[in-house]
Amino acid sequence: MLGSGEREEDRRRSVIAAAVLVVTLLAVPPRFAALHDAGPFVWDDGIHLLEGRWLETGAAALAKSAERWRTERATGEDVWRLDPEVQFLTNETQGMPLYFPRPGFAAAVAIALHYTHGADWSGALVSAIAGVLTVALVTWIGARLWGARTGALAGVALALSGWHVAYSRMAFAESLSVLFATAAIGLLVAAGGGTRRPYGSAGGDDPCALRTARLVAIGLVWGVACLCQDRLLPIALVPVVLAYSRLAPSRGRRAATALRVLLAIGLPIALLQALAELPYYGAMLALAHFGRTLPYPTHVERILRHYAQGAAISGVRPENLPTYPFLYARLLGPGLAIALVAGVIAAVRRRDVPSRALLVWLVLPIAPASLTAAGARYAAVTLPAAALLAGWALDPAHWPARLRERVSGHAAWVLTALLIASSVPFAVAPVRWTSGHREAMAVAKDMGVRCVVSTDPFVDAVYLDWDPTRVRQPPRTGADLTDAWAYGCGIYAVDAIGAVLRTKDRGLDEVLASFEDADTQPVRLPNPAAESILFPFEYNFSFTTTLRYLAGPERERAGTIRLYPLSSLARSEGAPP
Amino acid sequence: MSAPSTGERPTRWMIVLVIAVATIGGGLTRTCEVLRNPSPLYLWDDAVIHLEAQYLVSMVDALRTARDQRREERATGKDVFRVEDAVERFRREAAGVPPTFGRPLHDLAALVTMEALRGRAIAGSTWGPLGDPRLWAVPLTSAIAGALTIPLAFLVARRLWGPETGLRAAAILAMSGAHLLYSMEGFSEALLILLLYLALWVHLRGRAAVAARPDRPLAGSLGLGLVLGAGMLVHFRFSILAAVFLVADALRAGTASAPTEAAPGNAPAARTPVRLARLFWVGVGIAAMLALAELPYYLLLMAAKQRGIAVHPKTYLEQVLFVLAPEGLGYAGSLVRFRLGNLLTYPFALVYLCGGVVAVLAVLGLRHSRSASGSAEPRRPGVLLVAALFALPLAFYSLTIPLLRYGATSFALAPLFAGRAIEVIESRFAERGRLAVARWTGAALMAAALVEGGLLPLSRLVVPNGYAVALEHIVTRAPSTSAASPHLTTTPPISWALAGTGSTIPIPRNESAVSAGREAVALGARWLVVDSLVDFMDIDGQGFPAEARFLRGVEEACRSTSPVPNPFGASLVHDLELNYRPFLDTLALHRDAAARRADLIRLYPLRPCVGAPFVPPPSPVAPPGPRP
Repeated sequence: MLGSGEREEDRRRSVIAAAVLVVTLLAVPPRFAALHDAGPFVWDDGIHLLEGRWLETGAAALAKSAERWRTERATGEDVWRLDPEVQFLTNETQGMPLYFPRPGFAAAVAIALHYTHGADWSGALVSAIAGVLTVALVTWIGARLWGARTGALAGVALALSGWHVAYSRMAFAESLSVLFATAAIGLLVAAGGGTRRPYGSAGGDDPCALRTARLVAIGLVWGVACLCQDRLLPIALVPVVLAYSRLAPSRGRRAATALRVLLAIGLPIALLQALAELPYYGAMLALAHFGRTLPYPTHVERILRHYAQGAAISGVRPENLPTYPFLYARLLGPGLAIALVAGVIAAVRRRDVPSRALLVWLVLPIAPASLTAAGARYAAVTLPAAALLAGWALDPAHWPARLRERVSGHAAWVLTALLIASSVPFAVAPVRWTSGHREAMAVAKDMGVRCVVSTDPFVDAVYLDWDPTRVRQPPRTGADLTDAWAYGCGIYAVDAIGAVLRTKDRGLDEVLASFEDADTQPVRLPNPAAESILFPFEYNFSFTTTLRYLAGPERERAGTIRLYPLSSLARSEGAPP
Repeated sequence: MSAPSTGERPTRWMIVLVIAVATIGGGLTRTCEVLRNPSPLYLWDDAVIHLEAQYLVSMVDALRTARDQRREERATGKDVFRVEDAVERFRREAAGVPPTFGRPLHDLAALVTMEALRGRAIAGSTWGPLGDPRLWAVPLTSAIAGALTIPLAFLVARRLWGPETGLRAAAILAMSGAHLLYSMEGFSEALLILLLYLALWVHLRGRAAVAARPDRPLAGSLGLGLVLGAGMLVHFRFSILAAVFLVADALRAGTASAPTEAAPGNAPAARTPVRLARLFWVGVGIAAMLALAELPYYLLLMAAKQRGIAVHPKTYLEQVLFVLAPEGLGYAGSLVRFRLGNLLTYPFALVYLCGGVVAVLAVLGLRHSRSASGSAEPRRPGVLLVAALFALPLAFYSLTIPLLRYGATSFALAPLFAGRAIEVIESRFAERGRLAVARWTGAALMAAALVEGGLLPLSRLVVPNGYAVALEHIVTRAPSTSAASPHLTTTPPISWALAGTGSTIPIPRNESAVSAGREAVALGARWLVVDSLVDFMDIDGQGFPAEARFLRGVEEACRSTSPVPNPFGASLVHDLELNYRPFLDTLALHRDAAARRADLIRLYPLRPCVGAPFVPPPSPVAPPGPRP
């Protein structure tokens, strides 16, 4: 026989489970609808797919080679020889070796590619699945914090967040890494005890509940997130700060507690990074036996290079501070943006443990980027925190007493529904995004060119299904262009990215201007995805420049891809090779 | 609460004075004995450590040169430094052998001592190598480690049984024959003992801290893990001791105890996860140290990769996997050769090295270590762990390979139990009101332990060897064209340490000893150096049977010229260090030392006795490398 307390607990769990299920189902349509059109859109999309293809085809080739080796061992038949096998592996492996230090995401894409038989929307599929699971997780975290109703509203806020839907339909590493980051913070939140004692509630703040094992688990999950998106490495400060503030050490124990939290969370992250480095290290040792060095950068080298590149192009730009508030307002829609603002104000006023945690989670990851290169995707990790704050504010039960007096009962819920409904068009907008590169490259193939110059080479390499070396990066000088022509490149594909970049890159601008001056008539193809304001903000080195671009004439042409035939260049430079 | 005392407790100043005297006196004894020795390297292991440290010194020198050249380049603008040239020069000129046996911390300690000895004078020998004080670096490292262990013994015993026992234990350890022996040799044992005591001290402190605040599992556990990891970097054999620590913690983790006074709010159910967390942190510490050992190799490979230079040092991980792991499997294999008599090895060795008085007292102290039977004393936390650290390695090695040095860490714990036994005996008399008898008995037992346990064994433990004289003999008779007088030897590492790594030639593998000898002569060998090790190279077909057959064959064919006295080769310590045979057979072999001419290093001029020159094979011969 169950006691009344246990029955109540069971009922509460059932309500939470139902809320999670319903909200998760709500998150599915905007993420999965017409997913087959969500091929790679911009630069990183293409790279991730090429990396995934490299892993998938490499693993398949290795499996075939291993099969032959086993056959030789079993039958004695001479079917496996080193040199031909090396050649076989080289020939069979397509795509591009890991370019970013994100082996976790590349591996996930490789698995998706395997099951979709190489579909170019495999990366989007990974992101969509991760996006839906993140919504479920946010609902659960919200329910743990404030009960099933508020949790459901937080989940709905994320499910209908246009910004989150966008990353859930792209092969960016954001969606998957945000899933793991949210799971890590969920582990932190779940440390309050049972659902009877939610995190931050009276009696639920038992610091001993945040034991070392849980801290280590948080570190491990965050570490997996870092393997999916290396940018989360410095942001590991978020769970560290949250765990430290959760433990609330006394004055004499602050240093020891900080050390404990830092080690318990930091070491597993470092361990997973070391594990990612291990295959390279093993390869270095194996090659050293033959007096050779590894021709690829290792995982750590890639991280260092990535950060060095970031530091080189960033610089301190305080004018970028409005970027993320602007993007929240434009990509979430008015209803959710208002709810978010209300949620932030309420959290600042409440000053309880969950509020502080959510504010840290919302602000800390974007603080450095706001002052440097404020790329839109850098804020993806804050979207769950924003959804939780908005969800809290959407619940009429949390409204100020004066507002509740004026808008009570059904009217309050109607207002909440209106706020949510106002965000639906923003959530649906990314579903209509399609990349014009697919059609553009089909045209290029029809033209019979054996090489393409492109402002988005990796995306085009995916659609062409070519070796990435056959798609050249945008030329900065006339000599680069001539060189590409000499190599056999037949067309120069210019898309919205090129338009964004030309506002920042004088060399690129001059080369493009030379085409326009020559009255070259390009083939124009529609590129609907590029009309979104998200993509220009992925290259947001300066907020004012990006705004100027959005208001300027270049924006007019963003919705098309222009294919310039390089034969016009041949006419002016001389005969083709 | 302590056992009934026979008088006033020692004052702080008295403790400081006694420990200072024991440490300085013990340190001086060890250092002087090392420096008095004209030939400080004895067996394979100490010579290998010397060679590995020598290699590291070469590396440090190369880095210094590179730094100076870069400075010069910056100052003058001349192109005087190129990485490729520096690497090539290092490859050409590096002395010693690269680290191979997974003892980076011992190598590092020896490197520091070598650097400290650079340019100082120790021996006034006319022969070059003996004029280099760095030859004494490895045993001096042991001497320093041995001296530092003495105050740690006090700290550990004080935590276990109080300051009086601490003082007794420290004094007995300072004069303990076993500890003196390993503090004067270049084996890893002195450093292992130092780290064992350090680990015990950290463990006991951490235990007290956790008892006071069970919600702080990090206190002491990470430190313990780091010390245990450091021990494994001195010698991987320390992993057995680390396992004892971990098992002790794991067993404690499984048992919930009552809440302590200091933390009344903590329910027993909350303790187990905390103790598991403690275990976790110990593991983290160990892993961190092992990773730290691999890190320099990783950085080296990365730096070489940036330059496109192919280097292949045997990394720590590779040393563990390919050198130490097979060695570990050897322990399992040795179980089949177990003889009941082997169980006598360590009791015999304890009496032989530490004296009968200390041995008996240690057993007595072990019996009464947790609390004096019948007394109202509370049980001492941590004592069981010390008892396990004393007994389990002895049991393990008795069942596998009971070499003398494998028991060194246990022998070093015997003074703790001996000190405890004296305290218990005193307290028994004190309980009966016979304070004077108690005091005099305690004093007499201490005196007996110090004299019989240390001073007397010292004379039979410090035995000179003849390697330096033998090597000097053949090197000074080398033809002027040959710098090192190549020779075949039973102990190549000692030759490499004394006469350079190019001084020996690997023993050719050939069914006929004479043919093999001719081949060696063709390769440039002039001498054959045979010591008592030859009797341990072939044990029932194990070890180096082909080499042993060759050496015996050449010995039959040749006649030794002016053999060099080598008393160490005939010593019981030497034979017990090579106790691969059943213990009783080793004792029998030892009794036969004179007939075996074990007290001599025999030198055979090769060319006159192996006859016609040998046509060398077309393939190049691999350069000599360390032999496991």
